This record gives sequence, C-alpha cells and structure tokens, in this order.
Amino acid sequence: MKDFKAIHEAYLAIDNCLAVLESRESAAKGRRRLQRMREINDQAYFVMLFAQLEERIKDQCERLIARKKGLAKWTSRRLWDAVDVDKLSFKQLLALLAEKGGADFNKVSNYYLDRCKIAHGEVLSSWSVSIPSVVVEFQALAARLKAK
Amino acid sequence: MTVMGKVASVRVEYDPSIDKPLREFLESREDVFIRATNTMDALRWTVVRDAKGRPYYQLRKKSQPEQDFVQLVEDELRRFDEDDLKAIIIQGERRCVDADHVSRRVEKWIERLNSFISDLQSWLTQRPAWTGDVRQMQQRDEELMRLWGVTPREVPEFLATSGDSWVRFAPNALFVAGANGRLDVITSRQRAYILLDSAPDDSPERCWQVAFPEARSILERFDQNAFFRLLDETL
Repeated sequence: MKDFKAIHEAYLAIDNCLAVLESRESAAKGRRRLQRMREINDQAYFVMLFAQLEERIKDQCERLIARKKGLAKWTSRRLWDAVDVDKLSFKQLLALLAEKGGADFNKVSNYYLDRCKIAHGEVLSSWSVSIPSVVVEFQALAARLKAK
Repeated sequence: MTVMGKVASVRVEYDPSIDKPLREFLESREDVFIRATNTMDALRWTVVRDAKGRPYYQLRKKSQPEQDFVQLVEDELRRFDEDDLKAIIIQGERRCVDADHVSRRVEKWIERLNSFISDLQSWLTQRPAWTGDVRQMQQRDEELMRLWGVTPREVPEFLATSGDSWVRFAPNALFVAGANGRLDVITSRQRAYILLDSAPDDSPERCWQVAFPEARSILERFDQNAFFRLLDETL
C-alpha cells in the first residue's frame, strides 16, 4: 500500500511540471502536444498503479488457496487441491475475493479492460484518468479484497 | 412479463418469449448484467454504441454485432435451471451515452464551474489584498465530444491576483475516468495542483477535492481553508 503513495507522489511531480508548461504555452498546437503528453503520462502511471492492485489480489488469493488446501477434511479441500494460482486468469482470481457481478468485481473488471488495452500496446486516444482518485479507489479496494 | 423497480436495478419475471419492452429496456443501456437469483453465476453484456448511435453487443470478450441481442440473452438464460428463472435481476450500471447526454454533461459542467467560481469569489472577499477575475476560455475538445459531434463551448476560468502573485483555476477536462471533471490550479510560483469534482452531476452537494503533493491524504476537500492555504502559499 505504501507504493500507491510513492507512485502518486512521482506522478504529481511530473504532471504538475507538464501543467505549468501547458499554462505557459500560447499556441493551440503546443497546448495540444502538452495535453497529449499528460494523457500518456496518466496512462503510464495508471498501469503501474493497477499492477500494484493486481499483485495485492494475487497475494490474497495465494493466502486463501493455501488456507483452503490446509483444511483437514478432504471433502472440503478437494476442489482447492486442484487450484493452481498461476494458472488462473486475473478475472478468476478476482472472483475468489469479490462476488462476480458485484460492485467491486465490476469496478476492477472495468479498470482491467483499460489496463489491458494500454499494457498491450494501445495508447488510448484522449483517455484521461484522475490518478489521485484512482489511488484512493485502489487503496480502498485493496483493503476490501481480502482472503477472509 | 412484468418490469418493476428503479432505473439502476430492475427485477423482472422472466418470460421465455421476451417481448419488445424488454428489448427496448436492454437496448437503452450501456452495461447490462443479468443474474438468476438462485445462482452465483453472473452474465455481463456490454452494449456499445457506434458514432451513429447504433447499438452492437459484446458478450464477454467476443464482439457479436451480427447477432440479435435478445436472442443472445435467451440463449444464455437457457443455461439456468427453471427454478433459477423465477427471478432474474437485470441491472444497467450506466445510462446510455449519446450526443444529447454528452451535451447535457457539458452544460452541467459549465453550471458547476460557475457555481464553484461564485464560491471562490465569495471567499475572496475575506482577503482584501486579493482581487478576482472571471474569464472565458475555449473548452478542450475531448474525445467523447468529438465522437458525438458536440462542439467545445466557452468555459469560465478564475484568476485571483494580489500584486505580482496570482492563482489561476483553469478547467482541464470533463470526461475523466474516476472523477467528474478536473481543473488545473496554477500559481505564480510555478506550482500546479489537481482539483477534481468527485460528485456525480445529480448529487445535491458538490465534492471538490485537491491533491496537495506534500499532504498526508491523497485528496483533501477543497473548501475555504484549502483556498486560503493556496493563496498564502502563493504570496
């Protein structure tokens, strides 16, 4: 969770510099170029933040699966014995911690779609994201998505 | 078939011969979730619209524009047992996006900005060394506006000045994932801050928040105290 804050601080330092440069720019073309730079910067930091959340989800799933595999009764653990965390997709891992179709599941899934597009080489056209809001939201999600 | 309930979450009695009202209901939404109440399974359809407003449908990862959406729903519902089909929850999470919707959002954005600037002007009267000036600037041409042919409008910006010191509140973008609009706050000390509205358009209260780089919290409520803090740091 500390990394969310460190990434956010790094983001603000860059975005604030670009915002000042944009405010000084008088030509429309120059302003558009700087706006685009800020969008690309937003997307880069968004992927980094999502990676933190993804790691957190994977870690919680590993704990859950390990705990379930340790159940004494074979009838209780047999399904879990067949589960290999490295072979589950991100959505399957997420479904172990949040109800499919529920608010948290849908929220993370929607962000995951954007994350996949960016991480797989697509620089989204004019896609702005509020990084401070994402940090707050990811921190809250990370606190809720637990291997209870 | 009966459709009851609120906009965001509607309970339906499933009838295998889904009729036109349900079709219209489904097609009026961007995201549709259909869940039988007796099962953990959940199906999600994303209804996507092209630039001309025609809907096409994505079922999970596959895009199936050629298939009839209601047929898709029926096919998927057959996977459930009859007992499960006694009650189906259909949820649309977001309202339909079209040119009217985008125009209304822009209109509301200008109203929210005017209201916010009015608060700033009112607070500024308590700082006699400062004067405020409202100017109009060209709104940024955002992707969603281009997609729906909505022309950028003039949006208000606010400049607070005291001698050589100034603080400028300039609208940056309306359509921002995670917030309902963003402003850049730039000061004569060459510092910048992100200011966000975190409340939806129909919220009775606005929720303006600022990201101060050194603050303990990621976002702080932007109220009179935060405004004065900005002014004091700029002098």
